[in-house]
Amino acid sequence: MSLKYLAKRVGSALLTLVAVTLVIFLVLRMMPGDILETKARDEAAQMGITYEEAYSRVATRYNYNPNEPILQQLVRYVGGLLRGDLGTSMTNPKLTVVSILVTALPWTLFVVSISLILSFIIGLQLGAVMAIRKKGIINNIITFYVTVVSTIPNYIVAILLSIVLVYQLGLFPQAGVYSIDVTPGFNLPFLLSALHHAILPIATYVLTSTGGWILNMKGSSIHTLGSDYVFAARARGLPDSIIMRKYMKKNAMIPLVTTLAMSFGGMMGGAPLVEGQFKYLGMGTYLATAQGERDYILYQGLLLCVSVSVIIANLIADLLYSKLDPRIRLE
Amino acid sequence: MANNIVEIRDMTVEFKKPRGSLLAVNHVDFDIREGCVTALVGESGSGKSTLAFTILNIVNTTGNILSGEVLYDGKDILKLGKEELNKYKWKDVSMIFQSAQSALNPLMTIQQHFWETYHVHVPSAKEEEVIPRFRQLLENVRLDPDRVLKLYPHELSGGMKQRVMIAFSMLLEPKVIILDEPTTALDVITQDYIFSILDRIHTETGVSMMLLTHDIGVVAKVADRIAVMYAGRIVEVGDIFEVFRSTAHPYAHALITTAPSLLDRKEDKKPIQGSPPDLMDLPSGCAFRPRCPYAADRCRAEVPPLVEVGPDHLAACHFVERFQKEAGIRE
Repeated sequence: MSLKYLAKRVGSALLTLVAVTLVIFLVLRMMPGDILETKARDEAAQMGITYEEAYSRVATRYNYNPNEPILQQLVRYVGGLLRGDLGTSMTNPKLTVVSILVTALPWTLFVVSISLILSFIIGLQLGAVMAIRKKGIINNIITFYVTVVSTIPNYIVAILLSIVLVYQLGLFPQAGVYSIDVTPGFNLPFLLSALHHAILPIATYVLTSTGGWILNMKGSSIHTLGSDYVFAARARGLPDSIIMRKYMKKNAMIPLVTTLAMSFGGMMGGAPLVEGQFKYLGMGTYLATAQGERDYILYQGLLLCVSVSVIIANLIADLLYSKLDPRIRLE
Repeated sequence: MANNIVEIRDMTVEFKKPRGSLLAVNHVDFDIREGCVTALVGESGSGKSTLAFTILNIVNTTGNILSGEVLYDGKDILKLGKEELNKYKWKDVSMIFQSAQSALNPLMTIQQHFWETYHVHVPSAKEEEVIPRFRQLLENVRLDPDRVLKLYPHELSGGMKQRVMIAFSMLLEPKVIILDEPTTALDVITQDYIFSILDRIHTETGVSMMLLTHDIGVVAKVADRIAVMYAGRIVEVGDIFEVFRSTAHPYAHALITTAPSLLDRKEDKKPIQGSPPDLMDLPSGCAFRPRCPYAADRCRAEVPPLVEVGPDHLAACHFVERFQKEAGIRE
């Protein structure tokens, strides 16, 4: 891989990052509804004080001045970003956004990457099998499974799993990312506990997203099997095992790598309902909270973090792509 | 007379299509003579590629061999087990594809292709020991091995790819090479160059060749024997001089006389009237009847059998003598 190619990809990733930062900032400022107004109205009613007084109290508490010019806010925000400071949560001023990210991001990354890798690998294998054996029981079973699963949203599966396995059978914990009786660190009880808490979210993702991978891989494999180079490989007397591995699978999986990066992004941001169902304290849960509480600062920090993950995932996919396919290397 | 190295007997290949089935090859007998170049000539869709594929038992998955045998070295290739068949492919009979431009795996270098096939057929081989042979093969087709061995298929030009395929077909020193329109998609100068290389390989190694083409000019130049195929049947076959001098089938005659030469006047050239038949809906009797200026009632009633019309010369026409007189081939 040439250094020029690498520089080009990293450069375009950075540009995307700048654009995304601006868009997130502006969109959140343009959202209708003022958090202070709502809170002040509640406060005024509860405490029996005037609206103006309540408003100034709330503004101080939330450390937010709605009259500050937007450009000034932006400069302050970007300045903070450059110093690695994403501000503090508006609803909980003792917590910095960075500290929330540090606790939430690793867990979501953990769940999302394991789910993606599992469903990608399973999808690749089953899709390839389906392409090779166009008829047969396995094919029918998988097709049936995929049809059923693709019509059910993942949060419904999450609800089903939690009702049966958590509340009825009590096999899995009701909330959290690890038990309170283990010490975080690289030790077996902690790892086992973390895994125990993560299994249901992972299972939800794997159960619901594998079907898509299977169908993608099946289509791509059938296309590859019909290609001239597979036909020519048969003429050379290569055994089926080599043809499947080096000719069909390798070529068929290339277009799926792009999809992989894209679904990584979708899962990082689209998790609130699944994580929420298992009360798993990852990005999704915090995103839902921040949105509900209109905690702009926290929300913008979380969104930025999701965007950065997507950008990095795309960058990795790009670089991986050029490793997988020699035709990309020339560009 | 030389021996036959490959004998196809009573070959029938059916293709199942959504609106019915068709016979791409219809009870065909065909021989490849040892040390000779046997040309198989016919329009697109006449079944010549399908007939050639039966020799390697690689008829497309939608095709179905209904009857017939392919005799090589006293064995029926179609009855070989998978492993035996894989050993026979490329080692005894190799092939240069019509689609040479896409016959190589885009993810593998030329050296990886050569080594993979070599290693499958000679498991005891060591890569360093056979590389000199790969280099020799590429030098034989005037390619620079230092450069080409390391290249990926997309880095080669069309003519280079075709020469790589020729070198590849000689990898295991086969007894027979099938050339399926080896110069399709190449410019005329490259075509001529490719044929000069093939001619040299034939002279130097004495390898038997089966040449599929619709270019009658090429046939006249390189072939020892010719077979003409029409709508899934052989209509004329024999020694190249015999067939050209005393052509016995109106279709073969039309093919030979429509071939342009530099000295012809364009106005004198007449295309063959009508269009090739729909294999799903063949005319009764002789398939060429609707386009044949010499057709009579008998041609409608019975399919003409392939009968001897001269020394080493067979044709399938009811009215050979009348046709030859009227066409001015015979007094």
